[in-house]
Amino acid sequence: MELIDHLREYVRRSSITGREEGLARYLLEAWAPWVDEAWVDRVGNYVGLQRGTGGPRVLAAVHLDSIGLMVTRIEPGGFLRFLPVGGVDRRYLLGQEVEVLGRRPVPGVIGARPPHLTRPEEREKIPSYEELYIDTGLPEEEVRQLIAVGDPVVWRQELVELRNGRVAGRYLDNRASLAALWVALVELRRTGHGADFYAVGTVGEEFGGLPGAATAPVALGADVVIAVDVTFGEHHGAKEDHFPLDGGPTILVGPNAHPALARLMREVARREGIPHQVEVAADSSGTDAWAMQVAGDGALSGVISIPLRYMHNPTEVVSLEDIRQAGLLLARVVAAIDRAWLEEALAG
Amino acid sequence: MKELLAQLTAAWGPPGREQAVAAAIADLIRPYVDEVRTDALGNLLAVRRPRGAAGTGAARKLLLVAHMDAPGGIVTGYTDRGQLRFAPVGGLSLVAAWGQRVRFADGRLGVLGGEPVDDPKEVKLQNCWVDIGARSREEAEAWVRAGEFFVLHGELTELGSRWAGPALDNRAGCAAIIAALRRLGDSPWEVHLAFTVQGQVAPRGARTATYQVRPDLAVVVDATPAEGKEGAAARLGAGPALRLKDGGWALRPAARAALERAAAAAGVQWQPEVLPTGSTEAAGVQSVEEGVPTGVLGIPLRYRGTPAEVVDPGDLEGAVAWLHALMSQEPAPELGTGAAGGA
Repeated sequence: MELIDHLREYVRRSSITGREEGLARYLLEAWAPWVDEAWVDRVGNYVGLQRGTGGPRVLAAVHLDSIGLMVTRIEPGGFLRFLPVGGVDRRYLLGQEVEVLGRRPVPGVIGARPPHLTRPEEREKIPSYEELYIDTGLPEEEVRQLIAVGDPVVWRQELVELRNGRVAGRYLDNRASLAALWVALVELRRTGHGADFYAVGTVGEEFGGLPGAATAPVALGADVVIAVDVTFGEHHGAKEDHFPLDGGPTILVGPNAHPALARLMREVARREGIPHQVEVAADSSGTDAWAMQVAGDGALSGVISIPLRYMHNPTEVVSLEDIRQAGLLLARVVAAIDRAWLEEALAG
Repeated sequence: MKELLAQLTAAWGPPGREQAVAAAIADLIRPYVDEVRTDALGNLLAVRRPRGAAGTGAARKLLLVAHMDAPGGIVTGYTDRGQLRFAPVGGLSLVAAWGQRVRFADGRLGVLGGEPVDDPKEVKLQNCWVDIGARSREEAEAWVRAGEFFVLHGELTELGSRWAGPALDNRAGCAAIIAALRRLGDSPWEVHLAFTVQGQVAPRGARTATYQVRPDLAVVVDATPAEGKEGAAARLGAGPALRLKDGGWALRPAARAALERAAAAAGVQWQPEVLPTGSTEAAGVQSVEEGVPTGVLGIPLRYRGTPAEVVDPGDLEGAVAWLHALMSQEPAPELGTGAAGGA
């Protein structure tokens, strides 16, 4: 399977916050050829271990979960009311195709009254959650048999190949990074490495206090933690805080990244000729690294990000080449980490 | 149950000053547990070792958590006329407390009031005070010192078939755990109880309690707002609530399976709860150390933060039966080995 095939399989599996077990269990099988051991831990994180020849413990975290909705009410006629799970942008919900994960998956659409039946001022506004509902087309009785309050709702868009090595689809935040982590596993298996490398798919990054990231470094005794996530790709018309697609992954600089690790990432990228960009975050990186940095005794932390357009939209866009380069950068950085480097980094 | 609840709601315990509640609960549970102690933060921690046909190997640990503190206030200064300026501590509703009696640690009563206002929206901290009947600033300073805490005063009363009183959030949760413990027979679990401090402020006590226990499964028992308009809110009298999501936490499959199995075993009618905002101590508990599968069992409650919070005895009884079944049943296979795989 090529990179895009892997990505398609990750995108095919929904993994809304709180229900990540399907994707985690899929990785147990799919990544088995590239890891020495793998398990799902007690909070639901996927953990795959590639043993090194001797060195520190390096953990790379990619969050498995993605945003979505949750059913809150079944109304007369079988229409479903819902609330967001994670940072849902209400602007695009209207007219969206969704899937309700009931006893079996039920397709639905998010409806509202047509323009003919709304007042002009209503058409200027983004509908509130009270006005939006899911229509499954099923009679109420059947809806009540299939669907319960609390059932997750996910977007339906599968992966679409655009021109120029770019892809669009649901949940590329953070399946793009999952594909990059696979690239790194493949690469590290080929080159060998000293550090014990833990590839971790974390739960609960989009919503709910980062339980996966807060606990995995403690359970694994990680010395170095690296979050791989997506960042803001160049948006047509926007001027700031964005990174061109195909410009390579970003390397985070700021309080959430240990300076020695950020420096190592940039040196490795330069030496290996990996295109990259520097991303500055003056506060939290908005990734798993925020919790991982201070989990347990704390760890040296860093962040590698893949530029992505239309974040949290069902048609997010990324470049396959950026995914490949992010994976390559991660692999080379992990391979460069040994005990001497760690001691020097800790000594400042 | 009513006597138990009356006793617990009468105990004085604003956030950070829970000693009297802890002492009352310690006396109530001592005959039913193997160890009781208080930790550095003030949490009351108890252990009940497995009873009955014990399996081989170390027993799995179940932790039940309920915060003990209730909303109140802290005196910050005085007016020239001898009233007390104060700051609310832990979810005190000024509008609801206006005109109500408050009580200090020594039993002294006051009235929370302020400048006359026509519109409740004008009730602000700046124009509120606690009136202890002092005739002058000097008298007030002699009676109550700055830094002293107070709680809402009231007693548990019957309201039709329901109960109204102060501090039912979360003495109702404490009572449910105590009642379930009293009727517990054989249990394969090492059951740990944590009656925690500062739950009204943030998941503070619960975090450190969990750190000390390192449980395989934790269940937070807390009052939950009834009749809310947003999301899927609990209804009073419709049974205890299983929280699926709130403002900062989502229930995960392992804990859910354990709780649903216990509810089915006990025949407890429960209601699903999905909230856009709000939180319990679960968010803090779940991320301790290697992580803890955590659930939230909610006791529906009306008029939170007032001296007349209302609960339904049926909901409480359901919560007791649910907790009893949970403590009695074998640990769910979904909880896994508890170890971090082959690492």
